[in-house]
Amino acid sequence: MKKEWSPSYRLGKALSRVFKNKSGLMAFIGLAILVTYIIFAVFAPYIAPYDPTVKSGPAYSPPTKDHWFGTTNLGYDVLSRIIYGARIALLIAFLAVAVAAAIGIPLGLLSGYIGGTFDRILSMIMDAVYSFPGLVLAIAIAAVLGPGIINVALSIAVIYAPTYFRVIRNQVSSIKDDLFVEAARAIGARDRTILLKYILPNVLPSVIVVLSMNLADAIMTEAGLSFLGLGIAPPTPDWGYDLSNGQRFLLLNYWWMIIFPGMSIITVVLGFSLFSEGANEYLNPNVGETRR
Amino acid sequence: MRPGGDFVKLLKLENVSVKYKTREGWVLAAEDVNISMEKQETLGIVGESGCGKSTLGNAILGILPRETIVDGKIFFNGEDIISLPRKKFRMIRGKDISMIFQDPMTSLNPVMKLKHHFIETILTHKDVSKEEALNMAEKALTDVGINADRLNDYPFQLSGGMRQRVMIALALVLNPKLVIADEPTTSLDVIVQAQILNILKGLQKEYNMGMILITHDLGVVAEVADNIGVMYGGHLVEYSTKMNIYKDPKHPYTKALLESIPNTDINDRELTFIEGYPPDLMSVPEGCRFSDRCPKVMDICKSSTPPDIFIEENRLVKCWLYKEGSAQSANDN
Amino acid sequence: MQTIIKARDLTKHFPVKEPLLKKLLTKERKYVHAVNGIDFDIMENQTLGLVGESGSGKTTTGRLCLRLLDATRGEVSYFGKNIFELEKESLRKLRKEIQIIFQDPLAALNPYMKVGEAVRHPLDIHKIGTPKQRYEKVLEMLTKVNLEPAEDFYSRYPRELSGGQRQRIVIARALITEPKFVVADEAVAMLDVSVRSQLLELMIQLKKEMNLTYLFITHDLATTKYICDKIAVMYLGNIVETGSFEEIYTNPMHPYTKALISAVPEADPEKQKEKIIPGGEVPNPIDLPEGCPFHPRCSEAKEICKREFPDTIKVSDTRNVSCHLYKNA
Repeated sequence: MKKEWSPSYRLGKALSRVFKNKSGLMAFIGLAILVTYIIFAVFAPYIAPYDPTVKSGPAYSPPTKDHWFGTTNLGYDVLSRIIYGARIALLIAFLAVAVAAAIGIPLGLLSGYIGGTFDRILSMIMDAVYSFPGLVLAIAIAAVLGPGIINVALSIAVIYAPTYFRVIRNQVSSIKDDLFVEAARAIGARDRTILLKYILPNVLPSVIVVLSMNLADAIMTEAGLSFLGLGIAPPTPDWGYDLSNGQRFLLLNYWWMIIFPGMSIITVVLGFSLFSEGANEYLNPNVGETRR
Repeated sequence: MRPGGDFVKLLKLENVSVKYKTREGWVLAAEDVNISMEKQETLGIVGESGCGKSTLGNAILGILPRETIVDGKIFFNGEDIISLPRKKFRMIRGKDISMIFQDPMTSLNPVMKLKHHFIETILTHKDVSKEEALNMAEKALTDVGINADRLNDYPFQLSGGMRQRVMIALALVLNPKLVIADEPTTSLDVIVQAQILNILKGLQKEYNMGMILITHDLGVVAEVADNIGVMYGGHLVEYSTKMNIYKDPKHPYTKALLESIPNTDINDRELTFIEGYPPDLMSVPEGCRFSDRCPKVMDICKSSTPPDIFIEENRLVKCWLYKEGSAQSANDN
Repeated sequence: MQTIIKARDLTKHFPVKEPLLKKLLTKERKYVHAVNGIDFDIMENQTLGLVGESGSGKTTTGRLCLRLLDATRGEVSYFGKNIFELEKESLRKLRKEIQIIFQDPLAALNPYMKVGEAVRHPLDIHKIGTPKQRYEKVLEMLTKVNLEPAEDFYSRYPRELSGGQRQRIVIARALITEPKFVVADEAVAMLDVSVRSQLLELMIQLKKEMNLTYLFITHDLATTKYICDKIAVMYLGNIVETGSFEEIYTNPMHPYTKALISAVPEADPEKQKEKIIPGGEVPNPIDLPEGCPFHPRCSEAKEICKREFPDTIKVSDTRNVSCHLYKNA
């Protein structure tokens, strides 16, 4: 009807809105950080100056123009290890969260929709898993499964699945009595259609926010597991392992072996957190509104 | 209708405009409103959703969000309350001007007993003992027809109609000079509504207050109001006595609105309605806000906002049809 | 003309959610007596108005007529078949023929579905026509409800539209399968005053064009004048009086109806009525009074009203009243 509704106009308007808004800006910065690391991960072979698993210079070398971040005790280039490390960190984090969501969301949908005893039992199980201290549970599972990318991802996935379950289940439980769902029933829609077309799109946005915070947490958990020796086996570049490895040499003033992996973990986590906080505030501006 | 002369009016709005910022831009909630009322008068402000009537009520009470801009002057008993520092305004609010809110379900604190609601309100404004405050609360509650021993109840223990009566009691307990009732009966059943209106009318007389009744229900103001202001799209489009508004409406919107309301006249089986929809206050059209729906629209209506025209001493229409020299004004009616 | 809808002894009691311990300790169960054994008939192409305040059971009755709720007791027959006895698939087919227009147009639409998709959805569900035919039908329907140009509205989202436009979409979605019977549940109550008559007019027009039969649920008596052939007044789950608008408005018989009519605000300062305000409040539907449900608030109550539930008295062909005062009329 009016030109205000043309797609390019709306996109332009949306972007400028995001920028002017404080939380929109926050989300954007977080996204920028994440994109940087994703680029690291994807294009590692083209960006990293050296092979991170091969001795490429003198050991214990501080940052020089050949090795911007210095080298490790085995002469590996720290910068290259950081860049390649992004692969592991992001891969495991995304995998873990994907599996957690794949378990939690469908179960949450069913549980919230069906209700009754089924819902109660499932909720109890999920609550039990949820109440376990996350890292402890991850350690226990990782110890059983052993090292390796898939195993680490699975151990982490288990502790996050209940979060998705709860968030989805609670929302479904309240939405299923909403008028538009009743309307869907009134026109004869089957349960499956109602779940997928009416309920799921309305509960998914809240998951997006949880996803992002989960990813931040997953990175830390993975780093924690590797730090304790339960994660990825060397010489695969892994921030957590490097952190653990480097701490031995801190007293000798070889700061670069610990600072750079540590900073990477922090910035990626920060990136996810900024993005999820900003996106959450931006999409749900009612959170923390000033007095009316 | 009006005791003429220079007595200080209870309330006088001069060119009041209210606008606030949302994510999508500025919303011009009210523009250039000029209206006044006497002490002990009942002023009805009618209009549909989004016309700015509630915003106006909130502006008078001073409870608009911080980012709202209010232009113009609001004189309460001769004093411009907009220019008052917030602290001073807070002393007036609740004591001299109070409000009855629309939704009694959410306006009362669910975890506070009724008596605490009253005590809090009273002690904020009056330096009295708790005992005295309780006495005042009891009187207010009995005035609205609720047993005083219900002061120990929580809001959820009362029905909707009773909660609304509590809201009225809370608004009146400090004997304000002006009460603003914002859609006080909208969420209530018809019979309960009749009860509440009865109570409001009686109490207004007894307490000698001025009352502003904000509503979209033209039946309600026909009962209660002395004078009526009609709002549309943020503008005050017509103001006059109740009789004039209903029997001799001047503004095309007022006329169309009155004709389009489903009535109970058995001999009137025709449904008339106004084409189109009320304007979006974020993208207000140029000129008169009603121009896109007006059956008597002229070219000038689309390009310039009509001025406030006083047909008689206390009769205002915001419409080009009534500008002297306008060809239509002679033929109209 | 046949009777399309026949309700007999229609009853709905909702169990009250009690804490587990209480449930185990007492055998007693509490119920919300929303609808209590009502009877009514709706003829083809007729409009029955169901008027009442909150707690009267009118909304629940509407839901029961579509079997969006199962009845505790009683039946609703559609062309002679009791809808509460239908199997799943037959019930789904029924949804093509009995539809509902909801009160809140924004809440009744899926925020994530485009207008066109929402209106097309019933056709998808019942597999009516080819995809192209469905698209055409949607455009035709959108035009019918005066949402033009239809192609533009097809890809809009509900949040981009006004209340009146949304309600038209709800109507379009309800009517696209060409149902015979439509329940309008407070269809215009949440619309702006200046838009209400528009939508009422649309509903009347569509009724003629599409040969519809309506159950028009409302708390606003005045709107029934324009669209209803017959009105039934409900109180606490019972029908207390039926008749045409004229009959009920000019000569109300049941004391509740009298109070209701006196309370309706008149938009005319010269027509202000004497208000009959019944004492007390609407009782909790969990604990219904003995005898006539209105007697605790009725100024004309007699001894018998406290003990016996009043029979429905046929005053004339078109008039019924359920009140002891008229026993010998």
